Amino acid sequence: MREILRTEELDLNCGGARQTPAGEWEVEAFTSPETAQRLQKAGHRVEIDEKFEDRAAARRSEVGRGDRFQKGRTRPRGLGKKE
Amino acid sequence: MPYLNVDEVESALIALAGDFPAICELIVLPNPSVEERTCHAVRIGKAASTDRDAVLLTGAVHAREWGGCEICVNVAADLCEAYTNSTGLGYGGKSFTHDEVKAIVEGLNLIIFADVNPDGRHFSQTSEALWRRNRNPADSGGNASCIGVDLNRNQDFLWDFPVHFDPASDVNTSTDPCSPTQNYRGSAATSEPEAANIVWLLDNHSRTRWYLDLHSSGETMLHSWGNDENQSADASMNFANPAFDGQRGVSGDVYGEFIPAGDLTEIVELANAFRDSLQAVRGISYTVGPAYLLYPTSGANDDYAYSRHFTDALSNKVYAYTVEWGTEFQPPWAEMENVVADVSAGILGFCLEALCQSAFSVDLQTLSVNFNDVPEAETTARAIVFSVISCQAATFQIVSGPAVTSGPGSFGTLPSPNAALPAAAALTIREARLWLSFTGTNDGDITEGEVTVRLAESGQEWVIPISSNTINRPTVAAVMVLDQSGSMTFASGLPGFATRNDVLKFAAPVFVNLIQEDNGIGIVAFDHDAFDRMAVQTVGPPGPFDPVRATALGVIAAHAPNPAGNTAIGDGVENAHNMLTAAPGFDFHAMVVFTDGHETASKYIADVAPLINERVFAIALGTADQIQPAALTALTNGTGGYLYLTGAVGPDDLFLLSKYYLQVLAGVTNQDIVLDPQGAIKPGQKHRIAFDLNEADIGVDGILLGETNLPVFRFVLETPAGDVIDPAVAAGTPGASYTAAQGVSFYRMTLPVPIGAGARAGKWHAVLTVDEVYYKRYLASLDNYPDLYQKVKAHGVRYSLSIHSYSGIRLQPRLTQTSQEPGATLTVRAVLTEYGIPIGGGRATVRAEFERPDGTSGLLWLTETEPDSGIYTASTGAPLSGVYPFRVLANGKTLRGRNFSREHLLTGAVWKGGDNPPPTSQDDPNEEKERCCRLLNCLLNGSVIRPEFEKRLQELGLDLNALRACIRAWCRE
Repeated sequence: MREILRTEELDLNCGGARQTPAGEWEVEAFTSPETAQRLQKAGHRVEIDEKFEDRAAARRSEVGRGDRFQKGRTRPRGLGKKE
Repeated sequence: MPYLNVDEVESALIALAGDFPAICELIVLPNPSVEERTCHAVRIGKAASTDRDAVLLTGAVHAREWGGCEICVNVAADLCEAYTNSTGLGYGGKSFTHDEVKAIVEGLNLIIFADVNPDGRHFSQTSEALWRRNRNPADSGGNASCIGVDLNRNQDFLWDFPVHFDPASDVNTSTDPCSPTQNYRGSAATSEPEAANIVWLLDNHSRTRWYLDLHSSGETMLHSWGNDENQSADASMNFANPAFDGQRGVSGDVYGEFIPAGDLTEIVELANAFRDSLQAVRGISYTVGPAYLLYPTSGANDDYAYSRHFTDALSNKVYAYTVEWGTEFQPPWAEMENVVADVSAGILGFCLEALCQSAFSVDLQTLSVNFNDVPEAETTARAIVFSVISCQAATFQIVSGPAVTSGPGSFGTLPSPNAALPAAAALTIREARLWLSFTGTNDGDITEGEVTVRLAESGQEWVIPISSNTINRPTVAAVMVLDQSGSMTFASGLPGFATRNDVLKFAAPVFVNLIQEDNGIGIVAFDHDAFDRMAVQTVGPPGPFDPVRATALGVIAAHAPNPAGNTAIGDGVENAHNMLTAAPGFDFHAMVVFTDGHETASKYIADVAPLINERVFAIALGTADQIQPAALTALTNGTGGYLYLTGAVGPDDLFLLSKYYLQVLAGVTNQDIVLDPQGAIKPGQKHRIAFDLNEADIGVDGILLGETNLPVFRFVLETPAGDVIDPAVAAGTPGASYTAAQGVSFYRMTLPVPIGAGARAGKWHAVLTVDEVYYKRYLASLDNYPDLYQKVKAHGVRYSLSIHSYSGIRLQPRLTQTSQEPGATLTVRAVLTEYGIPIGGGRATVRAEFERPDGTSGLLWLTETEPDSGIYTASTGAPLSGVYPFRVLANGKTLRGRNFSREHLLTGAVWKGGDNPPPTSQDDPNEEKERCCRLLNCLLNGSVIRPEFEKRLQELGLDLNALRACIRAWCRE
């Protein structure tokens, strides 16, 4: 894993590489199809998230439109239960 | 609240600051983003930014990690709402009490910079979801994919990583703006305006001690350092030492980044508090460890924040963390809400632990100590109150004063057990109190002074001004409201007293004889109407020479029942109210109602109750069924008075009514009863009855009631030093007097009594003996009462001794009932105070002896409802119909360790139908008839029909007297 991270320019999530319970190292990275292919050819197990774009679109649809807080005239409500 | 767009993040913060200005301050960051967006933060905290340590929170430094903004806004909104609405906060399985919310808001400042990187966020939310950097095109060379700087690699901490790190370190930073790793460091340290905003917050909030930078993802809580492994052995091996350039960032080698062991311990404790609090929400456990666990970094915000105090002695030490929330950058909103709850709970748990580690957050709650309107000679206590938010021990000491700066008298101190707060395992808001006292001097005096208090642990000092003014002892106007309905002619049940009216005439004078000088007294009688017998007048010194007392005693002696009279208690109460209203010049008003039956005519109590604004006390002679005192109970309870019922009166109840009058007198004049025993004594015997007085007692009455008006008793008091006060000594001692009146004799003394060294605190004795000559004369007077004669011959003359004290120690019990039907629960609630300070925490015991209607007795031990509240309660059932008399007894120690005792009588009652609504005129079927009778009586009396006309009618054959007799007979039906 160290070697991959050193030689490949991978955009990692902030959590970095982590070891699975089985002892393997894995990392979530954001990279080009070419890089993924190269890693596969080198014998590394690569799982490609085929539905990433769909999910990204779904998330974009969950972003607020306009300004729900009306430039500060309406305040947000916290999610905590007031008890 | 789905994900916030960049405008909404700023609007949310602006709105919170607008809606909660007392605790939420809007901060406009000095540097607009590269795309000219204005950035805001808020400061949540009640205290000024310079008065409290601060936690800095930053969100969405990396554009794609959207939820950081939502977490920040949520924490701000929740704290504002919960603090302002006095609630706690709940996140799944984790709850924070309101006190904890309050501790955070009042004990800290939270500086919340929700969206560090608005340009990047906007780009991520609208174009490229995985965009990480800001949107600075300066180094892109026109290539869109080369835009931006990683704002978590741009700070001035080992920023020039090729110099500082080992080439083999794999440091997660790039010098290439076009690197697909998206971690370009920028053209210079803090080159980016967004990164500079973080520096500005640290620079301008110099009390920042903690920093949480919210990132995603990985469910980790990372602490210092991020550039290499930690070591605490070699302080010289540190990021600022160029000797180690080129060696950093490699595991297992010689170089380790220095972190003081003490810091590391505290840093980890805080991180664990975050983890534990977060885990309680839904069971997710974040991994705690140094940031280097991920990969070596340079220019990161957390390392920069913690590094500042090593290189700049003027900078505060900031424990800094990177939170990697969740498992993906942009989870579906439903899951993001869960993450928001998780991390919000973690942040609040972190804040509570931070407070525990923090310097003292102490607020002086009493900026000045004011003794307002202290009656002459009366001692009053006031507390200096500090609110302490800390887990550490805190000891408040008076280091100077309290000293008088102008005016007469002096300020004192009282032992204050809670001025020293012990260390606490968990954070709570605690109050420390130092008690000051002042004794009233002379009416109109104003006394001022000051006291200096120091917190021993921090050396912090407060100079607190004190002021006081003295007033005359308050006076009360009391109207006795006496029943003269037909039932007062009924047999009394007491040997030697033919009628109930005789019992009243035996007992009521006690009130007149004992009421203190300068108070007012008036008398109203009632049957189905009310009659003003004596307007309120101010009484003079006790004794036979006071004309007002003499008049009142004469009115009582002449009090005679109307055999045809019904019972309209409302009429009596209304007249008493009107009489009191017409008696200005008294500080308080009260009425004492005596009755022997339930209401049978208007006006009813319920009719006039809304008018009544005086304290109402009531004494009812009879059983619960006879009195049916629902309205009377409601009336007295509503005014702060109370009701006494005698129940069925038997031969042993000679003094019962007198005791009730004495108890009412004590209530009316704010006295307490120290002791209230009764007994019988024969010639040759000596009864020495001990009682305790203490430094809180201002005045004392020793009152002896006897069953005969003959001077049978020899009654003296002994001081704690053994000096004897008899009538002659009392007459010659300033502030002391002795009075003998019908059926009662009493000493009245202001304390200390100027005898010997001054008699006050300690064990006193009332000493009783019997004069044999008068004893025999009394026996001789009982020829017509053989049973009573035998009783006196066998057991002696009966007496009742009461010791009343005007005192700083007050026992104020009340009896409440769940119902007035059999099966009700009766609860005794007693409040015990010394100078207004609760007497609790094991300093006193309170019990209540009571009797059931079947004659069996019971005992309740009252327990303190909360530690140091001075409020004691206990309950019992009332399954039997009838009266339940209670005698509440308190024993304990004063603040200075002297013994005290207090007693108080209460009665409860239940009867079948007790919960029925009390009668009013509106539902009285006789009301119309009664009004008709009044009209007829009015028309037929001498003011309408003149004697001349009546004579002519007589001559014409109309006998008006016979007509009047018919109408009277009809009206009585």
